[in-house]
Amino acid sequence: MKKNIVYILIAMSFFAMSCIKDMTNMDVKPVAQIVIDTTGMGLTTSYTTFQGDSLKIKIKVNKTGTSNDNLKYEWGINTYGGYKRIVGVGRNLETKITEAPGSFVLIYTVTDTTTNQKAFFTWNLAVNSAYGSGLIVVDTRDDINSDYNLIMGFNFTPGMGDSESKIFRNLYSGANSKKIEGIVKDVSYERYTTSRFLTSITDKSIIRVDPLSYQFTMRDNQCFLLPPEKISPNKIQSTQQTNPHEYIVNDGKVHYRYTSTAPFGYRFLGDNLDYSCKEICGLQLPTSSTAAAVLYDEKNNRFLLTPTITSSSGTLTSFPAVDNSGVAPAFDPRNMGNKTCLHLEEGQNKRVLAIMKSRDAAQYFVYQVLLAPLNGKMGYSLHDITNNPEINNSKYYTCSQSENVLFYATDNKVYATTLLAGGGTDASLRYTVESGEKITGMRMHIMQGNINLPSLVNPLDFTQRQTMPAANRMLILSTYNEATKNGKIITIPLQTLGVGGLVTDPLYIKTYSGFGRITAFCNQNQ
Amino acid sequence: MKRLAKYCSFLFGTVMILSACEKQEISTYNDDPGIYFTTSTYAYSFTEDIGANSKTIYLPVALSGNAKDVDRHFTIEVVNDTNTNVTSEMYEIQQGDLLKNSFNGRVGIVLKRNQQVDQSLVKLKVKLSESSDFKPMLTQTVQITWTGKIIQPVNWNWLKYYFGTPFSTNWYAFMLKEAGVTSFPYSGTLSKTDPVTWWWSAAQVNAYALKVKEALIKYNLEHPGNELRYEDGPNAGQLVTMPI
Repeated sequence: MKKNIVYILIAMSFFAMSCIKDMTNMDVKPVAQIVIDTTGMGLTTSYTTFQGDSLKIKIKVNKTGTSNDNLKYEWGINTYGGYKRIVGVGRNLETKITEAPGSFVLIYTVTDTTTNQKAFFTWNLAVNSAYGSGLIVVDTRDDINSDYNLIMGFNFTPGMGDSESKIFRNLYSGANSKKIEGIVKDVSYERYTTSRFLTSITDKSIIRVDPLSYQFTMRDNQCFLLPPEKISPNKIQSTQQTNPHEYIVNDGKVHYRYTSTAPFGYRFLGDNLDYSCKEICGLQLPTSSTAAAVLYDEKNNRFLLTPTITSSSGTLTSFPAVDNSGVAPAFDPRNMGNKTCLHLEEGQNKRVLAIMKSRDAAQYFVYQVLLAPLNGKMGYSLHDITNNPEINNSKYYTCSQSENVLFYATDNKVYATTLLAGGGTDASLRYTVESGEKITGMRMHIMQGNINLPSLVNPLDFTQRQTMPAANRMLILSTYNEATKNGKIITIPLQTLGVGGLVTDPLYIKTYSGFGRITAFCNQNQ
Repeated sequence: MKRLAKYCSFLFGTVMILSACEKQEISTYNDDPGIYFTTSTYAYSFTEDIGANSKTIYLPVALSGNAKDVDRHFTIEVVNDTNTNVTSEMYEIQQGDLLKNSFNGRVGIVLKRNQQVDQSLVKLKVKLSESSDFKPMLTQTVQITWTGKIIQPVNWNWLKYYFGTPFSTNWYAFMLKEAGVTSFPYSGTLSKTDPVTWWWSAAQVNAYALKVKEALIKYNLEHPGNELRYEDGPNAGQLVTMPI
């Protein structure tokens, strides 16, 4: 019996042993770690460099128990979409950055060739174009051909100091060995992630370049998915603050493009009355559910709304019928009378200012139209500016989104007229150009860059100046002196909001000169 | 004798128990690749190329299994039933290819044209053949039709988002005429395996759809009370409408 018990116990011990988990495939052998030591070396988590610059990184690497001779190194520049370029195989990095401007990740990989053990370290890498953010200035020196110039400086370029500025001249002819044929009358820059477009229009051509190099990319019919019957552009506008997109008015019709799609789509369809326009204004921050832009239909004397920003295929729509209940709207956007539109621009609180002139009389008006909500009260306000000083000689118009003021310019003077509640205006002369100069263009700056303004405490002490973003606080003028053949860009900060109070102290006004006659300019937001 | 039996039993039991201690190998995934068509029908009309006597179409297939670093091939064969009404002179079946590191492949078929094709709808049904490389699975057959007449194109499943769901021959003829094209070569799926044939972008088809819509509005304005209607198809008699 005892023997049987022993046998049973032995058998049970074998049974129990068979229940032990088989770990023979899972041996864990501790291996010394590869240590990428970034401490005390002044290394940052990110690098910013210009295209064409060198990037140098020195780094310590060690692994206990292994000679560094057994370590293999790799430096790779990577980005979304599978792009990868090996830029180094040594412990330290020294390489020339040839990547197109954009955001990348620099990945450092160290491999122990004896065990295939790897260690990684990553940095964010921002590559900027040699041609960075700034102001594109288009000029002509022979009144036949045009060329691009770029001003990078405190007013337009993030990171540049108060006294710093660089002007790149003749960029188009430098990159393409010839100038742009014709006089450029409008220019627009648009960027969607890494896709960048700089498009200019003359009376009968559309020319597009790559703003990283200013090399020609396409023109005229190539700029459309379906070639229009005629190339006769009048206006081009980009919106860059959200969902970048761009409008062009060609042969009286509006075409639209967005994201990285280079060509413009088919023209927006009108309603049964058709339409013909010269001016359009897209909001910089449109909502996704309301009209993204408004245009003036010269054929039927009315405003029309574009589809929403997410619909490039809808038709233009009329404004709703006027709702006179309660407080009646100031005007009916569907019936503007016999007037032509001189200018459209986004003003305060997403209202669009329309500078209108009677076709058969010297009467000038500012209409403020709402793009949302869609109801019968979108004719926000009407201001008769017929009696404003020199309005008959006005040629250029602009406004800030930070105040309810219209700037208008004659050949040599800039006036600001406050658009008062109830429809009145209050005009003041704000700037006069130097003798012999003529104003050739005027715009409110809306993108990157900075301005200086006098201190609120001690406005006469320049050393106590305050620096702030230039967007909607800086008027840009272009002028030309026929005698000296000198064109200038003049930037004038807007000191007092609400009345268009341009700064008067010349210390705060910057001038960039040495151009031909400037015919167009726009922001370049690289 | 009893004791011997006991010892034998014990030894046998011990051997059996020890055999349970055999080392386990970690099991790994065994690839058993299969392929399937990603469409069950394919229609072609020689109206897209009036002067042509033949057209090579490409049927798309997808891989189930691992991609490999070598080109692989497959074949298809004709299903000779009522769904095939053409003789072998009217088509040529090519070898199917699934290129290395790809999960999508295609097989070309040359569709030929004669008087019968111009006057009727001819049919050919094909199926995937089993090979050492692939097992057919899921959608294993495709019904091909071709003609010289206007028929619903194979990419209508994409065009319908721009031109409307109901297909009608008079509406399609209107679309082609007003767009000034012989086809709308846009397909978000077929372009993956045959980007040469299906080369339009969504932006392009959208632009052409707007042009057609403009023509439709004009036509309807010029024909009050006699606006454009579908003449055949599921919505025959109803007014033509477009979703964009």
